[in-house]
Amino acid sequence: MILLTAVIAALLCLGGLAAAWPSQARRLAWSAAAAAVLGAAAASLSVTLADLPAAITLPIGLPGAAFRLSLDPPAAFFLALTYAAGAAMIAFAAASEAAAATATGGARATVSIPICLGFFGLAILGADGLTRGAALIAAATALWASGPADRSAAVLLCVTLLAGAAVIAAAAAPPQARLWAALIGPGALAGLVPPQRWIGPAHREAAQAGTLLAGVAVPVAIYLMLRLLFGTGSIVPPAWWGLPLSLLGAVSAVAGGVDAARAADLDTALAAGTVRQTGLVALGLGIALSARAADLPAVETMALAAVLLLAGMQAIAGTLQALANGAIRDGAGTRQLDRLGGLVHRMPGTTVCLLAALIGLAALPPGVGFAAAWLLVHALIGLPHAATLPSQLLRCALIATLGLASALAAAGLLRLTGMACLGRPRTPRAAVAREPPRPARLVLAALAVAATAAGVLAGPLLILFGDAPMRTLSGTGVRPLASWLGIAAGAESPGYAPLPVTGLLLLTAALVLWLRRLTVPSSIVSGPAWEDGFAAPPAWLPFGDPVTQTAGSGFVPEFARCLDPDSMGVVQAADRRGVAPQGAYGVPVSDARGVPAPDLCTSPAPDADGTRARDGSGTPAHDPSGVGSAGTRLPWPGPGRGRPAAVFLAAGSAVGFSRGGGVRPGSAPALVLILLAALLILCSWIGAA
Amino acid sequence: MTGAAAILAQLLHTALVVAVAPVVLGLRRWIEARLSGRAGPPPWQPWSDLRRLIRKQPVLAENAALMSRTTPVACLAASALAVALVPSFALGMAFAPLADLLVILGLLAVGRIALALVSLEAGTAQAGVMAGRGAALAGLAEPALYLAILALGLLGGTTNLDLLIGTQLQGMLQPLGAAVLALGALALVALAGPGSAGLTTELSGADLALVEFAASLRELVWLDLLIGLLLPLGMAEPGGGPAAWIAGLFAWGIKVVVVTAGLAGLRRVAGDIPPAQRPRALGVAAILGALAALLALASAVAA
Repeated sequence: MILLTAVIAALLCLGGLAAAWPSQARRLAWSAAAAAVLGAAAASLSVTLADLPAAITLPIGLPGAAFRLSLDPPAAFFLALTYAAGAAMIAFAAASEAAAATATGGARATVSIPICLGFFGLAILGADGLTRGAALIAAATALWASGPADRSAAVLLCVTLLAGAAVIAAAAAPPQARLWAALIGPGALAGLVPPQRWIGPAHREAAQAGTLLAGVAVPVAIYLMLRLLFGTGSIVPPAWWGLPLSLLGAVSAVAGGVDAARAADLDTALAAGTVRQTGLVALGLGIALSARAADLPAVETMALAAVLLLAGMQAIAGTLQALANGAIRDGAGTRQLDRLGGLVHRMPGTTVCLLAALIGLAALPPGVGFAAAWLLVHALIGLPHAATLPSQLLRCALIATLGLASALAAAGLLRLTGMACLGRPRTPRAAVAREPPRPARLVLAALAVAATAAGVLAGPLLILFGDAPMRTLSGTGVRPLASWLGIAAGAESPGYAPLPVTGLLLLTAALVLWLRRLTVPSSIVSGPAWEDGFAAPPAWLPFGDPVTQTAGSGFVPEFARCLDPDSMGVVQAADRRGVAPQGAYGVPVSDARGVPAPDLCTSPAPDADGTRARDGSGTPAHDPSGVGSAGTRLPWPGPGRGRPAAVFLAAGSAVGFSRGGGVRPGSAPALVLILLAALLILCSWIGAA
Repeated sequence: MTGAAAILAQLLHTALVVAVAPVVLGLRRWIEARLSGRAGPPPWQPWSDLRRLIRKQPVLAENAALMSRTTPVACLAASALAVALVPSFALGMAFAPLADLLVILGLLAVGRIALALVSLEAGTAQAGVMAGRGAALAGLAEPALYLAILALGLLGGTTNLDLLIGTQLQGMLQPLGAAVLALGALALVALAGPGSAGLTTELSGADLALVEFAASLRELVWLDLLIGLLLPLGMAEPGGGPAAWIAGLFAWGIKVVVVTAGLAGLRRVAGDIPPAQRPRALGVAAILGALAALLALASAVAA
């Protein structure tokens, strides 16, 4: 405890010294990184030790209200995450600054990150609302002072100040107000909708701070939400608390996923991905609260374990993605996807690290994200069977949202990796990109190893580090359902075992590689891409014809475009004008030559001879009639019939959920009604052709 | 079943499905050809194709690097593991504790994403378009899959495929309507979901063989999954010995042939689902999954 307090003091001092002595900033930054590593190690050791909670009162503070610090298992868990992420950030900033003066805000980063990290650590260690809020406000001020004073920085400052104020106010407010304090304060800081619209750009624009926000501020905000919602002591949270949290979480997860899958630059994708993760966290918190209200400790434990895994994933994989973004920004000179491409040749290490981060964040086995998604699905399955139909519909909607969010994460992975790192360079600058210096590469590699190992060892990690925090938070003696091999939903169900799955996957891959070696010579023969028989590009296009590969702004999953009203408007406006939105090089946003951006919401209209044109003559960009090919828009999931139906279902769910459980005799007619409605929607979809 | 027997069954099953997957694909093509009045290639034609391809030197695209060398292997490994996890003729095999439905579907997703990464690496037109389309279809397919998994998880109390099939074998996956709806959703996703079409244009030789082999394995995963959950008749129960395995093998062979013939007939009559209709089919799958989950929830309350 005293060591951790000393680490915070050391971080603050080192940051201050670096501000005073810019010439020594780098050396001081390495000491700060070492201090943070020490703090992370101490915190992670103290999670497993039994002498918690410990408390300390600082000799400073407001008159009559001294700052009190205390360390219990959840605080130690989040402190370890925060310090580990912070140490990586400081080390990376110091290493890139050492090599290149072009590192964006490098000098500033070595000053601001230790100071902010110190204050964020204080916010976790704080024993009461006043200390936590004050530390958060101090961190916000430090963050603001270190960055350029523009609008997004001001938004960020306001949100963080609001979060601090909410945390302070919640300490004095009645327990019933804590939910709203959690949503308005830390929830907004972490990026829950609705304020996500303003937070997103702030995350993106705050150049160096974006890294801090993604890797450190979001776990801190998650911790504060946990404290506000689960730290009510003997008071059982009301049953309805789970509803707004899960709904907001579901909406945030999808909104963030959609934004991440159509972001134009790396940092927007990072910020939107953070929103998606926060949404999943809020969904898990909502499920945990509902389970606690229904007295189902096993389900509550599963949801809390998912929250802890998601927080850890955000701290490690989110930081890794942010740092890889930084490496690309420094090495290739831009963060616009439209100006990147082909980085795998020049920056193979960074590419692999970015891929590791994205796999960790997406719900793909054996990543951490998959373990979290698995736990969330099983928590949803294990929730009590409410009798009201709308609450059942709500559960269906939540699980469908979970599926959609995981698909969006996978699409975002494909898009970021595919556009930035694979394919051909889209600009000469991207063709001469450089890897970051060796120390920075080592930091990235360490984080990538940690992110991968966290997925494979989800079970042991939950036992070692998740057990004590979950017992403290849930206040019950139920052991979490993790084993050394993996995680399980119940005693009779085997569950998910990432360790054997990974082992088998590696074994199979090795076998396949060996068989391939037997038959194929190991020498590599390469030739021009087949490209469906197109001729080789002319000599003045050394990187190939840019319009024959997917545009950097392309590869937006069509359903993401359909779900978003803004881009719907763009498509429809382009539809009416008969022109396409402009992309890089002033070429239409088409994915390829002669193949306009496919739009699954608009089926190609039959040509005069009744055949469907293969070259997409029915898609908006090439619609010669200019009337938007009336009648060819598919109802799923376009705005036509799908959206009112969805609104109807969502409203019904909300009403039913608020009425609470209990078998009502009148629910049979409602069931019939809903089934009829669903059948009607089904028939209308089928008959729409 | 003792440990040794479980391992033996697992080895037998793995060898069987790996050997049979291309033949099942060839069988479907042969029946389709016969039904449309052509002689058609023999059912083992895919094996001949694979043998021919694997002897060829792969030629990589000029700008292909890391991904093109590693991801075909990853794609095949994920698909092979998925097909090894889905039980065919016996329950209670060595990998049964790992055979979670979410894991199996996740492995299929890993295979799909690996393939999409290869196609994006070449930086060509068609492959990029097809990868984007696959991502879009996956976005519509995943909600349906999760809904079906919710329904099956509520009915069987677990998402472990082995236990679910065991429950169905005893006729305990009740109400049957919910199970059938959920399986309908899975089947629709299998038919209309993202495939590997158009993603392999830049692969050649042994790499192409790996990816095509993986595609046939994925098809068998879906077939085994649906057959097991819908018609587990004749499968050897966890304690069964070699006699039960042989009976299970026969039953599995008959079921696979019948279902393949049925699929071929369906395709002959109704044709393939055209790309423009796939989102709609996946929407229908989501509705089926939601209805299944609602039915399962309602029955759980009534019970």
